[in-house]
Amino acid sequence: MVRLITHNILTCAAKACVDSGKNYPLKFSNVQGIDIREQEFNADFIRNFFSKVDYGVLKETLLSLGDDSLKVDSVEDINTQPEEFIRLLHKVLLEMDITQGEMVCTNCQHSYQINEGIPNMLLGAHEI
Amino acid sequence: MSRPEHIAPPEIFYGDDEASKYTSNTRVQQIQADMTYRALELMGFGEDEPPKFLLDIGCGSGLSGEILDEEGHYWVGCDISPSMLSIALDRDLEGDLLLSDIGAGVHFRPGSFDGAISISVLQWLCNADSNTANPGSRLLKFFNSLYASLSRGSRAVFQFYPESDDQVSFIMGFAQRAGFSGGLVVDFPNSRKAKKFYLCLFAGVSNKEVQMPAAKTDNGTVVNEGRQSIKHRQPRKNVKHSAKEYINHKKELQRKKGKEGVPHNSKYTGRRRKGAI
Repeated sequence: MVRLITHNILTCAAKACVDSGKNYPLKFSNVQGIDIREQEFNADFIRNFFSKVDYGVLKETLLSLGDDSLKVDSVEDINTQPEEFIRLLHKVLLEMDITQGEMVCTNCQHSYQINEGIPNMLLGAHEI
Repeated sequence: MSRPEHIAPPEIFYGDDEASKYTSNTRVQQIQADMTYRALELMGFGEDEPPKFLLDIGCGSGLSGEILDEEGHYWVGCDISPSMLSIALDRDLEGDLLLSDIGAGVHFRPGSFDGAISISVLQWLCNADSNTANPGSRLLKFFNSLYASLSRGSRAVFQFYPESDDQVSFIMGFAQRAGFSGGLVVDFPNSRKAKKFYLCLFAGVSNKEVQMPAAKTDNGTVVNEGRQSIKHRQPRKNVKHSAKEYINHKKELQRKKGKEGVPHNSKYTGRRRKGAI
């Protein structure tokens, strides 16, 4: 289970990528399973958390998964947004689970396999 | 009692058998749940604050994650044992699970989490499980990357089973080098079984006043081990203010030690000299 909230903060762990600062974002590829799991909606949490979200990356990732529900290009102030938008964010951030596929680092091309819902973030000793 | 971290590395020790034994044991479940509640208490969240986004370090089969779900928090867990994680997956938890080695660092964008908790994990990092692994550098890497992943002013609470006092200071030394402040809270210090160690770390400064949480004890008194701030140190009591008293005090000490040739006390001792000729 990789929700987009997790994907949005996950970076590549390889030393070369961390040092060069090009360790973010990871790109989904070969996605074979997406689950929708309902979660309790909490508007305050989404509003608080939104400052930490890279909205551009979120939108791009959604598009790469074939979902174009996020229409807005950028959000200036989350507190002035209507509830509909918050609910939409809740849905894409917390309810979409990638269960099968891989995440690829754009810098080192390392592919983190997501197998039965658990991404394997382990690296070989030479990469750390 | 033997310590599991001496037997094998975590990903091997917690194989399928051990992982399912561990998770189905009701006593372990109860202890883990209690410790998670206590760790959450030590995080110091307010009653009416919205839910937080937390990192569960070494989440295992999600015994602690279950409590986080109950409390309404959102969380991401990481662990190195695939068997533990697959049990967690079956238990239908809300949080995301990652297979990763915390000794290689936790890799998230800076400031992502509102806090981190970790139940019975830290002692595993103190062992060298392969000839390339160095516990010191692994701990430092872990604390450095954790510090970066936490938002400023947030806390990380680690319940762990230290082997010795040396191990506690070993771990705390690296936490301090990574920039964390805070210290150790020891619950029930006089009980052999109920005694629990919580390493309570603060990442950066918060606009709230930060105070070390109080430890729980049997008789209600408070014990707080950790770095003593200079303000709280007792003033020295035996300081002599006049020169004569000071000199006589020193001489007395020398005599008590059995030194020979300590000058006698006389009316000239410690007396001011006359002005220059």
